[in-house]
Amino acid sequence: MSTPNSAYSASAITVLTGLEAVRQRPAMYVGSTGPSGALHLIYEVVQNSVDEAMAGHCSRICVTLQANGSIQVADDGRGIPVDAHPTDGRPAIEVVLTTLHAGGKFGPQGGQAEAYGIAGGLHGVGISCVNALSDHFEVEVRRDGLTSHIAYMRGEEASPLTSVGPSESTGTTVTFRPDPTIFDGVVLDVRTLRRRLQEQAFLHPGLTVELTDARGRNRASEVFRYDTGIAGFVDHLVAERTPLHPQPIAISGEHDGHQVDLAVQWTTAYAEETLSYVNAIFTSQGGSHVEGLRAALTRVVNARARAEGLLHDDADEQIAGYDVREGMVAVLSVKMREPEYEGQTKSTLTSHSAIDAVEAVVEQALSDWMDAHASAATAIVGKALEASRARAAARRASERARYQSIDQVVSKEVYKQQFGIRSKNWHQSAAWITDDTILSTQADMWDGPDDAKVLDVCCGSGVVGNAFRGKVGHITGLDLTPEMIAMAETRLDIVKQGDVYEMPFDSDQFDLVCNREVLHLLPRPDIPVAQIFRVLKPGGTFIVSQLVPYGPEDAPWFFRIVKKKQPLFFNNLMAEDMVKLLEDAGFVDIEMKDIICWEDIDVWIDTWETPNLHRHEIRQLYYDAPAEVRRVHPFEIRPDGGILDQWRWVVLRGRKPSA
Amino acid sequence: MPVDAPSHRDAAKGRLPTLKGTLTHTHLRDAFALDSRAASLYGYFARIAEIEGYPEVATTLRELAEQKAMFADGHLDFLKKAGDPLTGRSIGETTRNLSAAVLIEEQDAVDRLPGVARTAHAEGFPDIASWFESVALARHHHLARLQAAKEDAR
Repeated sequence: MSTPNSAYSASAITVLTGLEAVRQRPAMYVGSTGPSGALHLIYEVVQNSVDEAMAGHCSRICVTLQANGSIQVADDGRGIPVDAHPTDGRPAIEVVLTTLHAGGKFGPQGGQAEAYGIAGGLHGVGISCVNALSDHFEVEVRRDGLTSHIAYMRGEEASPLTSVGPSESTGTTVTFRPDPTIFDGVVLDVRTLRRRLQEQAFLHPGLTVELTDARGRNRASEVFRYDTGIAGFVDHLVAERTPLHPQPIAISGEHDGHQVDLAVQWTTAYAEETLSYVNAIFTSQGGSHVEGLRAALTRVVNARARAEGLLHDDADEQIAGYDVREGMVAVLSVKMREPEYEGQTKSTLTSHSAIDAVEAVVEQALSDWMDAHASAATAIVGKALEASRARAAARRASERARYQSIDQVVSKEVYKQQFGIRSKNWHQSAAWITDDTILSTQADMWDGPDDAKVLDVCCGSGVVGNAFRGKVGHITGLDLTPEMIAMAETRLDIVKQGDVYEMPFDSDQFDLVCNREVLHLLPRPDIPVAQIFRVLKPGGTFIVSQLVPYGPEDAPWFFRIVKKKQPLFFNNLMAEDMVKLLEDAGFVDIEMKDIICWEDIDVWIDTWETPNLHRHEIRQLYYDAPAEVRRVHPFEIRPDGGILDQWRWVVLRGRKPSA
Repeated sequence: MPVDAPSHRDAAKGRLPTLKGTLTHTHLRDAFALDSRAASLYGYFARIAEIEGYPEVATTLRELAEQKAMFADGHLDFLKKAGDPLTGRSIGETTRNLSAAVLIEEQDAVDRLPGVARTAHAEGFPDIASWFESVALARHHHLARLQAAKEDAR
C-alpha cells in the first residue's frame, strides 16, 4: 500500500520521550525476559521493515540467526534517515535508535511530515527498546548513494554515525544480540518465529521473507514468498481439513478509510479458526474487526438459508453465529489509521469504526459471492444448519438418557448414536486415547499369567485391550455399535456386540477385565462394575482408568468443562469415588496410580459431540478459571489463545476374592 | 401490632427506628437477593452474547451486571446493621463476617447439598446430582479455608 505523503526524511521523525527505564524494567516494554520477550525484539525490528513494505518501498526482508547469538534483519527499504533531525539537531537515526516512541509512525496525521499513512508498530516502543536491551547493536543504512554505520552497547553509543563507503542500493541492516544479562539462558523459539515470518509473507503478496538459521553446523535457509495473499494463507491453514468448497472465498473492499481483506473457507471439521490482523499486526484476541465479521457472516448465512426455504419461518428459526462458524477457517486483515487497542499487547482491537467497515464490506461481497456460487453456498448453509441441529440433538441425547434413567434403563440408542458417529475418527478425538503412558501403566499393572483370558469392556477402537498384547492369551472386546465392533476387530481376537448393564457373558469367565473412561458416562456406574465382578473368575483382576479432577477445588469447574464437551457426562467421579465403586462391588487389594497427561484441548473438543457454543464456553472457562482452580489444576494458555491442559488420570486395580 | 409502630414510637422519642423486623428490612433482603442474582445472571448472558457475536449486547449486559453488583453492596450497607441476609448473624467487622461465612458454608455443604443431591438422584437427574456433589465437595474445602481464616483473624 503506497501512501501519498511518503517523504521519509529526518523531518518525519517526531520525538516523544526518552529511553530511561527500559533496562530497569524490560518486561514492561517487551512483555517478558523469557523466550517471548526475545522473540519480541526480533518482531520489533522486522516490523520496521514490514512497515516499509506496506508503504511500498521494500520487497525483501532477511532474518538471520547467527552463530554468536546475534540476529540480523536486513531489508531493501529506503533506509533509516541519517540527516539531521529538524528539532533535535542530531542525526535522525540516532533519535530513532535512542528515543522511545520515535519513528516515522508518530508524525501528525495527514501532515507534511508523515512518512507512513498506515503502520503496525508493536507496542509503540520502537526499535530503541531493542537497542537498550542488546549488549551489541549495530545498524548499517544504505541511502542516497552512501553506506552509513552506527553501533551501540546496551543503549550507549559505541561507534558514532560514520559514512563507510558508497552504496548502489538502499536498505537497512540491523544486527543485535539480546543482552544475556537480561535474557539469561533464553533459547529462541524458532518455530514460532518461522510462523510469524511466513504469516507476514502471506499478508504482503510479493514480499520475500527469508529465515536463515546459521547457529548450528548446517546452515538452514527458508524463503517465504506468496503471490496468493491471504487466500493462499487460508489454503495453507486448511491443509489437511476437507474443504466444503474448492477455493477460499476472497473478499476485498474499502469502507470509510478501512481496507478490508478477508479470505474464508468452510471445511467439514468442527473447530473454527479465525486469524485477524490490523495493519499486519496479529490480534490474538480479535476485537471489533472480528465482531464485524461475525455479524456479517451470521446475517448472510441466515438470509441465504431463509431465501432457500431451509428455515422454519413460523418458528422464527435462526442459525446462531457459532453454528455458522463451525469448521470455518478465515484470515481477516484490516488496514486503518490510528487503530485503538485494549492494553499494551495489541491483542484486541477496540476501534468501533472497524465493526461497521468489516460488516459492510463482508456482507455485500459474501452475498454476491453466494449468488454467483449457488452450490457452494448451499453446502455452507447446509453445514451451519447441521451444526445447529447437532446442538439440539446433543441436548436431546442427554435429556433422553436422563429420562430413561429413572427406572435405571438407559437407552442404548442414545449411546449408539453418540459413539457410532465418533467412531469414524476415534483416534483423532483425543490424544490420550493412544497415550502410551496411560496404556503402558494399565498393562504394567497386570501381574497374572501370560495365557490369561481378557475382556475389554466398551473397547471402542480396541487400543486398551491391545496394550496387554504379549502379556495375556486371548482378548475379547465388548461394545455397542457395528462401527465400533468393526474397528475393534482389527486389534482384538473377538468382539461381541452388547452393553455394560447386561453383559452377554457367563459368570466367572475372565482372568482380567480392562476398561477406560466409560464409568463417568453412565447414570449408574455401579451396575457395570457389578457386572464386571460377575464375569471375572474368582481371583481375577479388574484394571480401569479414569480422568478425574485434582481435588475439591477444581471439581465443579472440571464438571462444567466435561459436561460441555460430552452431554452424556453423568458422574464427576473423584479418585476416591473410583476406589469406593470398586470396594462396594466387592473388589479387594485395590491399588491406584496417578498419571498426568498434557493435551491441547482443541484436539479434545473438536468432535461431533461438542457443539460449537460449548467449545467457546469451554475456552472461556479456562480463560476465566478461578484462582482456586488455577492453584491445583495446571494448564497453559498460549499467546495465540490455544490451551494446553494437564489432565489427571488414575489407574486402579482390584481383585475379585478367590473362592 | 402494625408494622410501622416501632418507627412511630422511636420517632416520637427522637430516635432513629431500628431496622430489624420491619417490612423495610424484608424489602432490603429481597432487593439484595434480586440484585445479586441479576448480577450473576447478566454476567452469564453477556458471555453468551459475546460468543453469539453481539458484542454491544454483551457490553450492555456486563455494564448492568456491574451496576447490579454495586446495588447489592448498597443493600448490604444497610442490611449489615440487621445481620447477614442469609443467616441473620450479625456482620460488619471481619471476625463477625467470617463467623457468618462459616455458618453459610456449614449449612450448605453439610446440611443442604447432600439432601438435594439425593433428591436429584431420586428424580432421575444423575448428572445434576453429581453437580451438587461436586459443589458440596468444594464447599467443604471452602469451609476449611474460612475456619483457617477465622483463626488468622483472631
